[in-house]
Amino acid sequence: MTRHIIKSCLVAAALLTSAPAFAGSLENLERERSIMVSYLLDADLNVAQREEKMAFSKRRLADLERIALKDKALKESRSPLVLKVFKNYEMSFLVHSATESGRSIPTHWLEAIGLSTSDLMNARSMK
Amino acid sequence: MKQNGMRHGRHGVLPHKVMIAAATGFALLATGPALASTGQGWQPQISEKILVLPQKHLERAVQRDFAASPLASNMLDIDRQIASEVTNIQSLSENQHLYEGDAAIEVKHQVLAGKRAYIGLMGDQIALKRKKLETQLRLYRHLARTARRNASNSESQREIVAAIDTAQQRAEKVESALREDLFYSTNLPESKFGEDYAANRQAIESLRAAIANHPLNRAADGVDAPRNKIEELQRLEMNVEAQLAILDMEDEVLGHMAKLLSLDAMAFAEEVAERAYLENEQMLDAPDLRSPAAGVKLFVSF
Repeated sequence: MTRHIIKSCLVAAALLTSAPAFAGSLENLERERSIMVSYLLDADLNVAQREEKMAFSKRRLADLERIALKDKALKESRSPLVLKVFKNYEMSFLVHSATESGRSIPTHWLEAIGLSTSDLMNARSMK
Repeated sequence: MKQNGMRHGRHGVLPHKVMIAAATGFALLATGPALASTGQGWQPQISEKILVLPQKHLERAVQRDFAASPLASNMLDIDRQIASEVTNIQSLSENQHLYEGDAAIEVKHQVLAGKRAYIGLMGDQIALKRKKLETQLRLYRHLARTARRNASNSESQREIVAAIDTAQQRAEKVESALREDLFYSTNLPESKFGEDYAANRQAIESLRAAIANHPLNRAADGVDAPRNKIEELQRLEMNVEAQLAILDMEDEVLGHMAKLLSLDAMAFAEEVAERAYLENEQMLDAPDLRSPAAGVKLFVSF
């Protein structure tokens, strides 16, 4: 009985450790992207602070996007998460897709989530 | 009995040739084109990594691998021997009319012997060719199986690869613009990674251009060009099978040659036998000086 339990634990441990480990490139990208978005949404920052923080973040994000795009290990992956990241190029690769669309990153991101400039201009604060 | 023995002793060369000619004919009829039992084979040293090479390089790589095998050197050696036999037969046949008597018979015999050697060598060569083609066919089939296995990756993985490729292409298109944008919009020096990335990207681009323009990398022309690795391997298999079919026909041609040569050998044997018989006849027609009666004239002088 004890032996069976040990065996089951070992199998479970093996399964858990061999779970699809897609490269850290996507994790790093996602971390930096969330930082960038947090700067975008941070109401405590003034314009100059936001610009400064976003400039640093943009440079880092550009590098991380390049790393993820060139990551050969991702092609071996069968994870639906990887597929989702690359299918959703506009949101995943913010710096590249913003350059492609010729817009700033905030505009690009807001439009990608369905908020256009006119939507924002027409918005009224609800009390 | 003694006379006969002496006669045979005197003209012993002819029956000897008859025997050789007859033996040649029987040997050819009995064995036909002999299969090469000597020589080492060809163990392809090509790994499955060859499948990543551009399509038309595959066949060249296989040919190079074969050229380095003992089988290839055996075939070359036999080719040289065949060329030498052909030269010998041609030279003898051209000069055959210059000889008379025993010399003419000897030349004829040499021609027959040369033809026999030629057929034997040709049979060996066909056997080696068959060995080569069968090995080649096995190799192509193995590579085709591997290519099919590689191609049958799961649908999801193919989808991922396609999505990554699309993303890479989109990113490539804006890379120069992005670099400029980062330089002007952030007012920050480029990161170490960014610098190295740009330098390597430029190097990769120039190497890609060189690869694309390389004469050996020109795409196969025409609408009939194979579309993928599996199709190309199937075509190579078909070519090898066609060559094997040609070898079967060459075998048949060689069989007919052997039959014709055996008939020639038998005709030659008969010719030599007839000649020997006629010479014996002449000997019998000549006055027999060994009997006392034939020598009477030597004593009777009137």
